[in-house]
Amino acid sequence: MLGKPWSNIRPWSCCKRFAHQLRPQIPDARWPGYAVVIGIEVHAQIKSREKLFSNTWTSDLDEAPNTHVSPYDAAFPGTLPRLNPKCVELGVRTAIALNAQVNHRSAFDRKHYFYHDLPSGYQITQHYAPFASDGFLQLEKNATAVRIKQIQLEQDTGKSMSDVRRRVSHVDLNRAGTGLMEIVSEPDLRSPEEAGNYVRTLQSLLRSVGSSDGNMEQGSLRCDVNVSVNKYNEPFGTRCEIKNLNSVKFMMVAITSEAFRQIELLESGRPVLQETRGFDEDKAETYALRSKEDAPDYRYMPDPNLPPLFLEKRYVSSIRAEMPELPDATRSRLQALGLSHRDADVLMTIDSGREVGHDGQLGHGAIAYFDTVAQGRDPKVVVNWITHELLGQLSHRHETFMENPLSATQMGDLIDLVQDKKITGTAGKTILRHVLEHKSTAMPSVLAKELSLLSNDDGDASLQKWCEEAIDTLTEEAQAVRDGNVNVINKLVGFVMKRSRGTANAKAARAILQSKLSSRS
Amino acid sequence: MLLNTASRCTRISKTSSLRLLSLNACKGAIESKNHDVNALVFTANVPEGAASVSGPLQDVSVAVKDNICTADMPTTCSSRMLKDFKSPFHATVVQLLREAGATLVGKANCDEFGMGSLNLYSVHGSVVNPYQPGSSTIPWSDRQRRSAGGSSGGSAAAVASGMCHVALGTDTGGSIRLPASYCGIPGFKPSYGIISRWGVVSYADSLDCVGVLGQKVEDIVQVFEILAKYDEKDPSAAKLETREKASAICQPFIQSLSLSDSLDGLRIGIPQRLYNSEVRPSVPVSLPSTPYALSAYYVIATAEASSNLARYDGIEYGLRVDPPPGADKTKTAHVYAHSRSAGFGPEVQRRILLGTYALTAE
Repeated sequence: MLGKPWSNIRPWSCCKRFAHQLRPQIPDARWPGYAVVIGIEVHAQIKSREKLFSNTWTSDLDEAPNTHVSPYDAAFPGTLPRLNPKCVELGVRTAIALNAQVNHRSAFDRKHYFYHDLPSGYQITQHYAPFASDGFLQLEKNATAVRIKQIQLEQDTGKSMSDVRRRVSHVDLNRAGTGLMEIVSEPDLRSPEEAGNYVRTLQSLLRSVGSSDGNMEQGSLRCDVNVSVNKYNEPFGTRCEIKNLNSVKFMMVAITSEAFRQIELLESGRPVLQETRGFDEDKAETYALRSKEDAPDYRYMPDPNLPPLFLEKRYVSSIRAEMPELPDATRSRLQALGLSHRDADVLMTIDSGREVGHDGQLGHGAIAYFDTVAQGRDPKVVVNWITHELLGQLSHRHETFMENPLSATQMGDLIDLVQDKKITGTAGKTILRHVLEHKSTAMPSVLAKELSLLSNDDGDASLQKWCEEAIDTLTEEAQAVRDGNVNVINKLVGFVMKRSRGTANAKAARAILQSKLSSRS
Repeated sequence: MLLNTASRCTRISKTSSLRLLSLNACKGAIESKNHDVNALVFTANVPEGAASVSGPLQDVSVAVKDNICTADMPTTCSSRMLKDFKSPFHATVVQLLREAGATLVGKANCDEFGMGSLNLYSVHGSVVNPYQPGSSTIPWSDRQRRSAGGSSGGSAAAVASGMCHVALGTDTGGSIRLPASYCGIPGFKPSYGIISRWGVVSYADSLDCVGVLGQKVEDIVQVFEILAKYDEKDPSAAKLETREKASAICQPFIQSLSLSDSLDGLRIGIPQRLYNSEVRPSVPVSLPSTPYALSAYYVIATAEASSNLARYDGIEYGLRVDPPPGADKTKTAHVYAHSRSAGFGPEVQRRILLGTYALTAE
């Protein structure tokens, strides 16, 4: 149904001319006379079923520790790596989406360091020859293209949790050996806000191609940020790297605070030292982790087990031909259907990342749901039902869109009932609540009958009867209307609606009541 | 006398009941023989009533070098680091031998992690070369104790002393060829990538090869043909098409040779740079990079060794020595150091240090 989505983003090739240009510095009122330069290394977990070099299944956060560990993942003697082609495929999808060059030959290297969540004592990465390079990412709501230096495949580590009281560390190897994409930007970002925009744009791109769920809070996307400051229009200053940032918000706070720290140093005539820094979320400031002199020597070495990775042009074009729709194309398509920018945004950010399936299987997220329901229906009506009624009810019930029991077919049926005036909008909402409450799989047209919510097709008989009941019961109000106090009629209409359990047409009721009350006077 | 018993045991009776009987008798004979040679570091138990697998190797007994993983026997690599280690899986070569019906007699001594040429660096003690001139009448206890060579010294000595027909060894820089030569038996180091390395404990991955030592060349051929199979678990295994191509090229030569027992007319090319007093030139072959080979070998092998042996940290498996009270535990490496210093012998430590130095940036 989406046709060839790749053709939709072809116009981006106009941005290629930016690809080798350094962005100019940008003045900023927060630090007059200075410019801030930012580059970001993103580690995005590849959403593959199996790990990068073993056929152990990847794990979710809620699984018991050390239940997804093969002898290879625990670096048992005699085990050897075997490259998972699905990880390569998802990497190539990402590279294409980032307009990067997929290199014909790439290779794997070992990066050595001793740490207890790294069982082999080295991480396999692509230090010398990454599989993709020279791309760019067009930021959302911004004309800026951020150059991507390279993308490499590498292994994730295990996790360690310190038990401070017993002074021991617990090691969980579930994550050990999961595939990562390291996406390295050039120093093209000029403000904390741009950095935030870059990460958010990248997140939605990764999700749209199904290569990562890109969730910073859950650690499936992690950022290391390089920040430097310099006097406006002078050469770049010395950079510091801030590690372990686990939300876009904190990343932006960390950059701001780091920029002020470096400017303060320069203002007082002291140099900025190249170092790696951490971020204290409570104090909202960065702190020194290690200096350049203490930087570990990773003793990089070509991995002697894994042969070089050759990616033929034909393979890359076959993936390019099957590319899922990218966020920019989705947004334009939705807006072309008449949706507002805001509605498109809401649809695109519902359950961010949770809908991403394994091995590039595109999940059935809100966009797919919308597309199915909107087939042959008014897109604007459909988006209202999804964003206002459905999402509203779900959030009221503290449920996510993933947990939504109302199928697209049910939703379609429900909208048709309301549009065809077989039920009222109020009755429609009642049915929606009923389905969510009872996880009912029945079609709304059946439920409308069962719950006696169908608008009456006995002509006006019932409506006439309810109106008379209203006038007989609410005698004082009826008299007030007769006396010319027309607004009081709303009370009588309310009575009719309540009496009909929402099935009555309020407009029709008002008309009948008006005629009854004026004829008697 | 003991030598004779063990020798007779190597051809195992075909009927299974007799086979079990003879295996148990052989176990005793092998163990008493091994007392003098120290070729095996573990002797297999044959469980009562074990069903024998019929197959091309059902009459063949095999010793397996102790750096090749076996799920039913320890795999120590002759290191204190792995003294009590038992692998959770069989190496592909072990699996293939079992499926072909071979009897595994035990695990063969070796230099620690395959590092050495004399089989002196072993937590199980050195291997004694069993080779003696046929005319010797001196009792074992009084004979000179000579090196069996290494690092597959136990494999060579087990074959040479008649404990088994064949033995698996590994060869990174001569570790099959040296001990076979020292012990006076044929030893075969195939080309890299022909036999699977899955389950072979890595010393230097880009050089490590599994090979076969045997009493007779025919035995080696028979076992090699079982083992020379593509294994998808080994990323450096030669691909099927490569094997077919190589085989097609070799076939005419092999055919012309097997037609007669005479080697008349066979031309052997010998690299010119390797000529020495023992090798007489026949057809000179030029390999100009030969002078760099030894230096390159030492850099590559030690660099890879320092990387491959980083995993022995005392956490997931193997020896763990806790830091003494008050020791510096500020860095993970400081905690590991206690296990690694106690677990690795001098030659392994030397090569790890050399390799680390080779990989260090400045």
